[in-house]
Amino acid sequence: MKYYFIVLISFLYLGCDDFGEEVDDRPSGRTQFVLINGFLSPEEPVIRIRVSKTVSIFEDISDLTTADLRDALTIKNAMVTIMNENQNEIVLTYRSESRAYEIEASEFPIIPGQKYGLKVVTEGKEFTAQSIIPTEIIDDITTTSSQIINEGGISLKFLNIQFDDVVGENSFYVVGGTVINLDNPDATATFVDFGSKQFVTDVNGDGIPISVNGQVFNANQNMEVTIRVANTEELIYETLRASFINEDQAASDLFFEPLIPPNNIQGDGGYGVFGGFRLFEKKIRL
Amino acid sequence: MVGCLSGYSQESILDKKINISKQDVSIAYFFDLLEKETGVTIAYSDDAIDIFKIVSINFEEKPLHQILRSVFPSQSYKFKVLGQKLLIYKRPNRYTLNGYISEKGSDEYLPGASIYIPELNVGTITNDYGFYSITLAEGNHTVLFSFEGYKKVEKKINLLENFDLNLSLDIETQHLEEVLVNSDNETKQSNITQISSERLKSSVFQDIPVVLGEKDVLKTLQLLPGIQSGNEGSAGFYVRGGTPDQNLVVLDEATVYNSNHLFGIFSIFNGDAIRSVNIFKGGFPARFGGRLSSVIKIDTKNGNKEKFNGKATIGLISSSFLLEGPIKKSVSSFVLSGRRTYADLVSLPFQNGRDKIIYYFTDVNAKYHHVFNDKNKLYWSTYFGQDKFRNKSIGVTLQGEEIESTQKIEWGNITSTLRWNHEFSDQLFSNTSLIFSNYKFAVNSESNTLATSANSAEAFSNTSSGINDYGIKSDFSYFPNPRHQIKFGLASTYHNFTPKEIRISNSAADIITNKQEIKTLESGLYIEDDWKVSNKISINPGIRLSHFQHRNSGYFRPEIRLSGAYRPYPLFSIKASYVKMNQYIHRLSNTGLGLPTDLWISSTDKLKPQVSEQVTLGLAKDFDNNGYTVTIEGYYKKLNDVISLKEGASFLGGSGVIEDIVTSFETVDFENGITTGQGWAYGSEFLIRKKRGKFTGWLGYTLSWSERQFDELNGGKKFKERYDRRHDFSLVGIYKPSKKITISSSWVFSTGINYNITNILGVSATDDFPIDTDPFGSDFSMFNVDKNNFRGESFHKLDLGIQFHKITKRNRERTWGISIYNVYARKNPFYYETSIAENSPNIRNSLFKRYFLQLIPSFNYTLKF
Repeated sequence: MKYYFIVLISFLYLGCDDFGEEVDDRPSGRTQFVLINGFLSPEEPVIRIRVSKTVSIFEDISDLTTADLRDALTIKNAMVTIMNENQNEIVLTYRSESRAYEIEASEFPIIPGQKYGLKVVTEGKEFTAQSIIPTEIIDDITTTSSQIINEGGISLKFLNIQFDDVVGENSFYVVGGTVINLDNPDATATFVDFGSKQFVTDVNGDGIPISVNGQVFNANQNMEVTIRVANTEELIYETLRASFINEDQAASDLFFEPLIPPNNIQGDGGYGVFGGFRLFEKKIRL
Repeated sequence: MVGCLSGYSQESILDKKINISKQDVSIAYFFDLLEKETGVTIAYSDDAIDIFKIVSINFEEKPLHQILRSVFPSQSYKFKVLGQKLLIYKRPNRYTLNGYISEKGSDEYLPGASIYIPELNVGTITNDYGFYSITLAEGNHTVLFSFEGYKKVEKKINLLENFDLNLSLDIETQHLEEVLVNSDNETKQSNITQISSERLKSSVFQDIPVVLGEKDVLKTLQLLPGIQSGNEGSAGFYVRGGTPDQNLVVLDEATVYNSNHLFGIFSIFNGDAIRSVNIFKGGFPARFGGRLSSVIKIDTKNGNKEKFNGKATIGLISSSFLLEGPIKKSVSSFVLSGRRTYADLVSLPFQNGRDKIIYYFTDVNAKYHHVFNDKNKLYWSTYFGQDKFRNKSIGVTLQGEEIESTQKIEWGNITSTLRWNHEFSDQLFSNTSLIFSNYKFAVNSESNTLATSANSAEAFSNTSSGINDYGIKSDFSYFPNPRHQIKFGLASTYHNFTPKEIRISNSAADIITNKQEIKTLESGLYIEDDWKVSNKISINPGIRLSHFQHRNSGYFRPEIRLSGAYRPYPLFSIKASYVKMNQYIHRLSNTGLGLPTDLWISSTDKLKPQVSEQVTLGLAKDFDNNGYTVTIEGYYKKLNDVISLKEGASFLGGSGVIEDIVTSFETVDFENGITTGQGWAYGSEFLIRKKRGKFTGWLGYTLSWSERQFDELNGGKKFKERYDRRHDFSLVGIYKPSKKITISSSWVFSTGINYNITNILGVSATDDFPIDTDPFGSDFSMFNVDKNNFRGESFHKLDLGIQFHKITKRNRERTWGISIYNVYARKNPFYYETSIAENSPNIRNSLFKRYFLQLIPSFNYTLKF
């Protein structure tokens, strides 16, 4: 009997080994791209295009700090040009502080409803993209709030943002907010947590009012919230949403299927999004 | 003009009154007399008339036809005048032999039993209710009744009128090796027109070992070519490049929506209750509709009408029982079976503290069968199954109050079918069914402050989704002659979907409900004919008119079904088929695992039905002497309007926040999360199977491709489907050297499935946007640009099982079973993830394979009484 028991335990041990091991196989497909992202808006003071390289996530980058890695990936010698519908164009200059190619918006105004083109020449290749700046911006927002103490004894402020959808087009909105404690204005601003609801569209009906809920942790009565609602091109919306969901879900959901971010950069080896948006901003007191 | 004249002649000669009176003369002499009287020449076949037979006739002024009828009284003799010839010929009368074939000792009907008349080379098989009908010429016939696993019966019948013949077949003793010539003729693969189908008896999956010793129908089906499993341990299956929701799983006529227990490790079907399983992968007969890729038809036992018996099994993970017997002998019977896991009961005493986690599943099958008379039979069958997970915990708030929180996840199916078999005549059989099917998945969360009353929850939230079906179905089988078996019928099902329902309450507010309901009506009208055109050619043409109604929009979709077989020589046939299928209800999956969190939805005015067209070409060869069958098939399937979730769409998780319900203007509109595209699936399948003898089993191989293209996914590029497995190989063997022992094994190999793995690191795009959409995110993002960009490792494993049978002194059968799952502990991938390689000298990302279910022994004990 003892013999059978030992055999059984041995079987069970073998059956319950490690449950994970490293493999050498790698996904197929290219991992090295020229990554180009640029978001234009009439409301932004600076026009910024970021040009960088991508690498395989399995590369050994352990000896690099975050700053070093950003530097290593950033392409600093590209020729980046923006042109408008009238064929006027301007070359952006690389700024090491931001690691991006920039000009002041006053030098090349971004007009709602107009089409803009991007050309990037780097590593012996040319990459292009087009964007149409959304015409409309939302008029105003209304907010309501309520406060509770949650199970952990933490003070929560629920914040509801409502605004009218822009009529006559498919609309894609990104909603966010930063919070300043007026009693301690030098403290780091916190944010309104909208979660995945920060991404909202008018898919339920054109012109139907849109409502978004968020919450502010450790809320007190003397806070100022800057609510921002961006009306974006679909590509920007999907890019930001993919980045958020991939980060949010990958760690908690074993079977999560990562989102593939969209791409409108043309040219072999190019990837990224060049798009336009309108930005509405309003400060409110909680 | 000529016709009129000849007709006039025919009438006038046969109506001519003549006088004739002769005693004891031969028919030859009688014909001579008639020829002289009428001036016509009499022509006849020697086979039909014995001219030496002696007759006596005495007629005065009687018409000729009356005189002839008196000499040839049988209605099978016909008289016809052609010009100056009087033709006397015999057209034999045809009578119908019909009845039920059942198992001796239990009266359990045997579907698919063969009824064969060798000298005429015609035959038929029993239908799903054991009924057969065959119309033959009057006279003497030798009829062979046979069914695999049962002793053949030969009956000599003198068919002079319609004849009811019910027969019981003895079970064949399993250890004998018999060479049966021409047995099961009508059920041989080469003799049936149907392509791409298999029938499995319950004995097959009783013997094949699967995980933890459970007998699993769906796991066993996954060992056949063309039917591929999902992830390790998953009961979800993929047929010819289709997805799990494209498989119609029917239990006693009721559709089953979620066929999994324990997140897919086991199927919901208790093997003890099942009589037979039919699977169709292509060439679908017109009587089936509503799904694109397969039909799995599961029929449960009717119950022993002669004596009570039962079975009890204790295993490592669950125990089950079966009871069956007569309520009134030979008239009515019942079957009751149940199964429950008991890991929760065993583990509860060992769970320390006040936190308790339990999981269990249970299922119950019940059936009642009543025979009113030979022409009317009633069946009522029902199934209840549920999985329940519960986590109860007690915590303490900062104020020092104790709060008890309970989270429950439960899901399950309920089906109920009432069926009435009625024989309108010897050639027309019908079955009418009333069908109910329910599936529900629910997540409940409750919390109570223990200091206050514990009877009412201070806060709760309940998120659920489900579907209720109410259906009626009538199927008719008409057997006009051995060349035709015509089936026709109609079915209509009212679907009531609740894709999502949320109920939330807390101590400060009333109950808030947000519910979406979709009501639809799905109907079908069909006719098909299994037509033996000649001894070498048979075809099965059919058409199904399907209709689907959702609010003001409706879809009317005719579906052509055509299959045919050509038998150039005995035991060999070449088959082909073309089918068009429509699917109106669909399942959305976030994981592809067939989890209960998957959402069932319906076609709407915005969401068109999925459509497929499939052509199949194959051949089948039976080797009569040793019971081998070989089938080789190639298929091509085109899918249109297939659905998928859009990138990032999810239907999981209510927010639990009241304000979400109260102030949100958003409706729960699943259509917005779905995109449609097209798919291609093609490949070939090879199966060699041995069904008789001490050693049985099969070897199957599939070579296949499966691709998809959606405009809104993967940048519009075509991509390999997740379960696109290039090669799939299975080898199954069951050896029964004697009545006391059964040894079984299965070895499977398949190419790995495709995973979506992030493999690119780049600077995050979110930094340049004025709204920080990911405040806790890093400066970098990881992503991939191609869907299903990583093919995982191949999957292979060996399972072994052995059963020791013993008949006790009280004539009960006792069986000890030992099985080992994944004998050589292959680490088959369950999923992949990127993670930091901890043992590396450098901190770097690496790819990890996660696995489980290696080398799992199990034991079970079964007592049959």
